Amino acid sequence: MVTKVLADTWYVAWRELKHFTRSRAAMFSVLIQPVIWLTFMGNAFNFSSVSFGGFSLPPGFNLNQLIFQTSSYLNFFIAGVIVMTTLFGGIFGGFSIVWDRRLGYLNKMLAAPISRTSIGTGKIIAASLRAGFQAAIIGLIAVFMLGVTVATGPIGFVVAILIAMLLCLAFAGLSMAIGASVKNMEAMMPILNLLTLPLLFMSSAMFPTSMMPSWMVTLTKFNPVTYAVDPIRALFISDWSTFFGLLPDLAVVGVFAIALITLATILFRRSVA
Amino acid sequence: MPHAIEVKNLTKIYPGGLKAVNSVSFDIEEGEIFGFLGPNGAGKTTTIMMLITLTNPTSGTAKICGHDIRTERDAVRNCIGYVSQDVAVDDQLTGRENIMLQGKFYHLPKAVLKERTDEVLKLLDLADRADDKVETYSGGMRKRLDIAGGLIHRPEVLFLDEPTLGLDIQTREKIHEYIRRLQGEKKMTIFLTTHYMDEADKLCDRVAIIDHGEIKAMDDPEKLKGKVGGDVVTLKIASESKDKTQEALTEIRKQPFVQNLIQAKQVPPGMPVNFEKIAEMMKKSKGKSKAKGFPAGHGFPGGEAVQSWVATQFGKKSAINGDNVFNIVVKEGATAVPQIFKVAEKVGVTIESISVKRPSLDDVFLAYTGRELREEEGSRMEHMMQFMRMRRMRH
Repeated sequence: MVTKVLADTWYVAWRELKHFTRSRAAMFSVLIQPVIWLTFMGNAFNFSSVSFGGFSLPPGFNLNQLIFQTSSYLNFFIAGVIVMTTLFGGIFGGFSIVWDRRLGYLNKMLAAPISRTSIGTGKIIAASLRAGFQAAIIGLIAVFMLGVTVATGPIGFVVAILIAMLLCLAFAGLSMAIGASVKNMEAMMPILNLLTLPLLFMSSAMFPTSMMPSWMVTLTKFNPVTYAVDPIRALFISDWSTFFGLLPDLAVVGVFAIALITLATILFRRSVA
Repeated sequence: MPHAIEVKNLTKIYPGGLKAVNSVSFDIEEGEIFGFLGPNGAGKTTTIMMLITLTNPTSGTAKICGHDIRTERDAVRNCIGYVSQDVAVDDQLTGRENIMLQGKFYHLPKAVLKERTDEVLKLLDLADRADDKVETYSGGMRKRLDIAGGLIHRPEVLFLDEPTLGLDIQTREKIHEYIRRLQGEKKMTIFLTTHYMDEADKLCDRVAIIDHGEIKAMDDPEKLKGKVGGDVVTLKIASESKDKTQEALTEIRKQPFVQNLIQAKQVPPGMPVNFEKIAEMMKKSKGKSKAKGFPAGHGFPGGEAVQSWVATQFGKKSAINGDNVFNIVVKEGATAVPQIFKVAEKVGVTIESISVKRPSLDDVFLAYTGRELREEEGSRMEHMMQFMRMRRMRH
């Protein structure tokens, strides 16, 4: 029984991953977007050599260090871009269920003795694997081409990607839950668009919370994205002990992921009964 | 012998009170091709969705291969194949990958799956294109691939929802051939829905006419047509003189076997249209004719459409002329024809052409429902679906 569910899940995920690897355009566009963010955003916020109307910083004083706790904004921002990549990958992950419903492929699967649960979870897992792959590529580009450093080394890098994938599972679950209830592409698109930007900006992904007004800081506390960004950032710019201090944050992300995947599964099963 | 499908008082009422299927009962023998004939929105697809376990019936039940559709769902799913009207194949995968994946959904072991995949691809004549992406397939090939997928686990009962919807005539013929082969060689029981009369007529051992969620009539197509009444003799008299023609008609009306005689306003359904000739003309004019407006994929609803189409494509001359054409309803066509000739000879008119037609299922539908096959107005969504389907079919 369990092996059957696992096998079904894998074949559903396999199909999704094939769609990704077969479409060069899709692969190219999802990789290029974060690179654009990195180069433009990353360089716009560089405070290492700023001067304010004749007043320049004393030599050796790096404003970046003060604001971002690291030598460049890019170092700070990379955690945000990795999370952004997986957030987007997750939040649009439920789209394929709506698409399959419309194409009739969903009915084809449902007419087979395939486990109902595996249809949703297979797609969620595929979204996470896909997003993890993207995040890894972007991270590698940042490290090898843009001079980003990883304080905790290669292992820290891998852990960072895994955390991002965990966050992706959560948002793919949310997306799948919406897809199971909305059933309609035209309605789903604006809902997802409405979600992504606030989730991104009301977190510590782009800017340190120290720069935000207190009401915004409160909002970030309710945003699961923050709980993924902070540990990933610790891996990039701090050290292992800071990271271990943030383990409760990871637990929040984990609970959030489990809750949303369960919700998605319940809603999906109800929608096809 | 047990029935392949036993349906008892199957009813589906949607939230909101729409009675899509109203206490439908029927049995289907093993190895039978059974057709559900009705217009869009009659309840055909809802019935299929219940039988394949995707929708719960409101009341009533059905047994497929002896398994209850409400309580033994996985057993039902294992013994049925389902091919939807949507041509649900995955564009991004190859034909073979599509089939293999579907086999995985049925939990077939690897070795069996490999062998079966080759088998079904060969059966539907797709072996030589099996490793190409489905993107590159034509509409007919996609449909065949879709059907092949439905066969991968050797189902005892195959459900085909509108198997030829939106396909051109040659492809429809091909699909009919495959369906017959499945019945003949594989001894499969086939349940299909259609709103094409000719399809139900040619293909099905038995037909149920369904309208507004109820079965109005059920029998083999010949018997259904027999219940309607007499045959229709369509007669064309060479236009020598109007008086002579009228005299001949008066005489024919007097014959005891004639039930009715009317002048055909235009070429009526059943006019001897020479399809081979038309096909030949189409072939010759390939590239020149726009072939627009031809009722492709909609069967031949009657002479009219063909006539006007032929006229636009090849000029008025070639169109079938409706003058001096008469429909005579008689008890028995075969014995009436010589009598009609006798009368014509006596009066002195020349009969240019004559044909006898058994009533079509169109006539049957009209007789049982009181109206012609209608197209229900679909929602915007349905129209869009249809549009998308057509687009995918086209290339």
